[in-house]
Amino acid sequence: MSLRIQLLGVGLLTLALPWAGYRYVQELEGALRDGLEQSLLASATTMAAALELQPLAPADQDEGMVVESAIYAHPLGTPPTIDGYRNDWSSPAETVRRLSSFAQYWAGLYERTVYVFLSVTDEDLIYQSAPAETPYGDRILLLPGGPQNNWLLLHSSGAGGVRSQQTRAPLFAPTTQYEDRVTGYWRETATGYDVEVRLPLDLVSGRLGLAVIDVDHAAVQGTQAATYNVSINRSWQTTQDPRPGAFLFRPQHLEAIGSQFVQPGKRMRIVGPQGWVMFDGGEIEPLVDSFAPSSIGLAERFYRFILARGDSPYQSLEGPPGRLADAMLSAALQGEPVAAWYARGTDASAVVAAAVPIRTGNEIRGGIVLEQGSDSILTLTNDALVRLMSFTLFASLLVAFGLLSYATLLSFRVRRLARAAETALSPEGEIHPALPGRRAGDEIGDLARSFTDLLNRLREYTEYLTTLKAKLAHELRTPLAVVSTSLDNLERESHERHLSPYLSRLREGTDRLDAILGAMSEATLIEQAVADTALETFSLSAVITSCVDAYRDVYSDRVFELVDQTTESSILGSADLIAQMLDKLIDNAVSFSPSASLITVTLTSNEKEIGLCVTNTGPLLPESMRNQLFDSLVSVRKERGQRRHLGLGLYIVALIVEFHRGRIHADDLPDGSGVRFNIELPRVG
Amino acid sequence: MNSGKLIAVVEDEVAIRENYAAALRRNGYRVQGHSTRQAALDAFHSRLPDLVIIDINLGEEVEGGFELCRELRARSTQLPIIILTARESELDIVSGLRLGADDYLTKRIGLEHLLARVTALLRRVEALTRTDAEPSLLQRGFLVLDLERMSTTWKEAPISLTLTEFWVVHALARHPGHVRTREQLMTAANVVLDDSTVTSQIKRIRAKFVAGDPDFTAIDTVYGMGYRWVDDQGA
Repeated sequence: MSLRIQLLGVGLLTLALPWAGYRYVQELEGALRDGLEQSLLASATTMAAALELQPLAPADQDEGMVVESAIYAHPLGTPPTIDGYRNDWSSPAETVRRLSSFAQYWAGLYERTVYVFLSVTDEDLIYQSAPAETPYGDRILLLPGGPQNNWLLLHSSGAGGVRSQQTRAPLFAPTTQYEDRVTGYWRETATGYDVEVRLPLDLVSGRLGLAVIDVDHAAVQGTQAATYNVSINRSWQTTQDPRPGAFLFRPQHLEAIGSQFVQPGKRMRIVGPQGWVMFDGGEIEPLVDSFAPSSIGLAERFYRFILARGDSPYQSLEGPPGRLADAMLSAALQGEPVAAWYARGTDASAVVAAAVPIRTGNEIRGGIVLEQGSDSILTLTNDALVRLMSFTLFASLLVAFGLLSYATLLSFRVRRLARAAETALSPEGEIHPALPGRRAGDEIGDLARSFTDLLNRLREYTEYLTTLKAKLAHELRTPLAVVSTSLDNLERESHERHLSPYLSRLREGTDRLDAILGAMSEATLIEQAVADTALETFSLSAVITSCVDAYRDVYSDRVFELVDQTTESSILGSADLIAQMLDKLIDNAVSFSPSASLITVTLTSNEKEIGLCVTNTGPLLPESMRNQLFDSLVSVRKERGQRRHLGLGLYIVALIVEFHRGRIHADDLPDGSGVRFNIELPRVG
Repeated sequence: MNSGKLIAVVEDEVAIRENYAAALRRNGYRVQGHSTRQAALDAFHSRLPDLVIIDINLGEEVEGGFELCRELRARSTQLPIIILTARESELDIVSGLRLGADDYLTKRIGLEHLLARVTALLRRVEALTRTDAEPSLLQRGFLVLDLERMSTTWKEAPISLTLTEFWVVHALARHPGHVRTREQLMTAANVVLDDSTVTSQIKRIRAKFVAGDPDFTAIDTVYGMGYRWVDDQGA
């Protein structure tokens, strides 16, 4: 695993900081929510305690009362006119309740008068044609509470005002006993009829039942007398034992008490044991955009995103009109105070609701639902907290970024050092000991300095080695001079003939030693010559042509071929050195190639360089020494030839090529017949 | 013939010094040997020798030979001085010649060649002092070589060449247009040297001519073979 990846891993650990910050903010948000819930619950509990002794439901609350058959009168702001139209009712149309598949009704209460508006779908409207004549036509039954079943009948012989009559089960026939406290209006509609009825609250006395008797012609062929289908739709359970459901409304005394509890911005509802709303006051504050300062819009969006709670949507908690049916409230009515959050429309706004039971002794008589508007993310309502969060987040990110950057920097330095160390030894064998980053005071700096020291020593050693042969040659020169001058004198003065073979061998040996020393110092001399050489622009082609012409004379037992594919071959350098270089290459080629073989010199050019290629037949390059061919004192010759050979020729070639900023490489010919040396020299211009 | 000529050999290596001395004596010279600069100076104080052969490295003094050469040249402009050393570097050669040596030879040279030089230099001094001598001139265009005095003029301006350089120029100019290989030049100059040393000799000779005449191009390089004298300038 690379150092960068390791450091990246370490750097990633710093992400724990933003994570911790996130958890912190979440905890904070939870605490704030808890706080709000607790305060709301506390208010609700206080109210519940105050309501402990107040009667909640207006009438007796029989056990087992059926929710479906209860009638809830919504409070009306104004008394409607009894005219068969509902448009003057101040209660919303949604407060409708379905009586049956074809009848629905609204119930309302204004002061102490009960209003009922019935809307019946009936395609076959049959009026009462004459008194006491069956069938009695379509009619409405009201069944108020009270000691006995006190049936009231509303029927009509046509549209217009209707009076109510007392009637009796099971036929519910019209009578002449009128109940004047109940009045109504019958109006025909496109789909049936509407009946608006008004009756005093006292008459209702806690219970009220509604029934619609629908009489339709039966479609029977061939009978004289009309036959009818009669169906009764009612709000109570059975005909035999009519027990009308509760009549529920908001009592006056609760209105007075509740109003005192209502706090601005909160909605308070008092409900009965079954969830019927006995009091409803106050308003949830509408959503205000200025919960959070707009200056941190971006941060706010970010926090809202990470703190989003997924509250269930707010539906004003209402089941059937007039009744709260909610899991939370049912829990409260079981005796458990509950608080909950609801999302309201946009994601920024929420409602906190608290529900607590109202008890008298051990009996739960109802509950209080308290609701308050809030920002869904409470933390955001506190500027200081938002700032704190922002600072924490910023600091976390800064630390994480800083650590990551540091890790990157560190890895960069190490990799730079590694790269430099790899390339410190150039392919030409030069050593560049100055590694980057060695001025740094830390351990990487130490490492760079150690490497630099090491490379410096290596370079000194290499330099020592390269100068060794020159020094050696120089040092050996003096003793050799002693020998050779002595030999000179000896040859002059000795006349012992039998010594002459020894003298000539001695001369031969010193000559060879002398040649070896000459070769050893030649490289040094060339190095010096190269360093002193002045650059001139000359035609490579001309020099090579002249040289190859000369070689034809010098090496008469080889065939030379010059292939010049260049048109213009100016290079910057020294013609003398180039000639010397070619001398060495040809010398090399001649010494390896068989007699009378072909030596080819090829000149090519491209846009930037001129290529010089010397090809000869003969043995291939030995694999083991391929990279050292151009080093000094390396010779690949197997047999000892006549001439001195110290492997300096190709070293001198490389030296001259380098002086001309060119490249050299040697390889075998593709067909394996010989060897070629390729030199590329940069051209002028 | 050579009797009476005193040659001083300043060389710290006794064996070499004695070998030189023996060879010189055999040829009739009187020889004075010194191993340090100071000893040589003390001896020269009373009388200058006719020719001095100096090694550069003199015992403790690594460049004592150079110093001695400078001091001797200051005392006499005529005294032939040969520097004979193991040092072959271009820098040493140039330094020695700048200090006024008449020739710079490496110890690779054989005694025969050394003797040839000694003879030639002594003859030159003699020719210079003998005003009535018949000049033996070789003229090639602007070039005039006085073979007796071993002096050179180009466009009538004297060119100061060492003995080796003079022989090289002479070898080239004797047959203008003919290529002289490096080996031929070495033989003519009585030296055994490398190709590269001949190259630097030619370079130095050209530089000396060019210093007096920037248009000098009479020595032509024939790559791969050698050099030739191009005599088209004065024709």
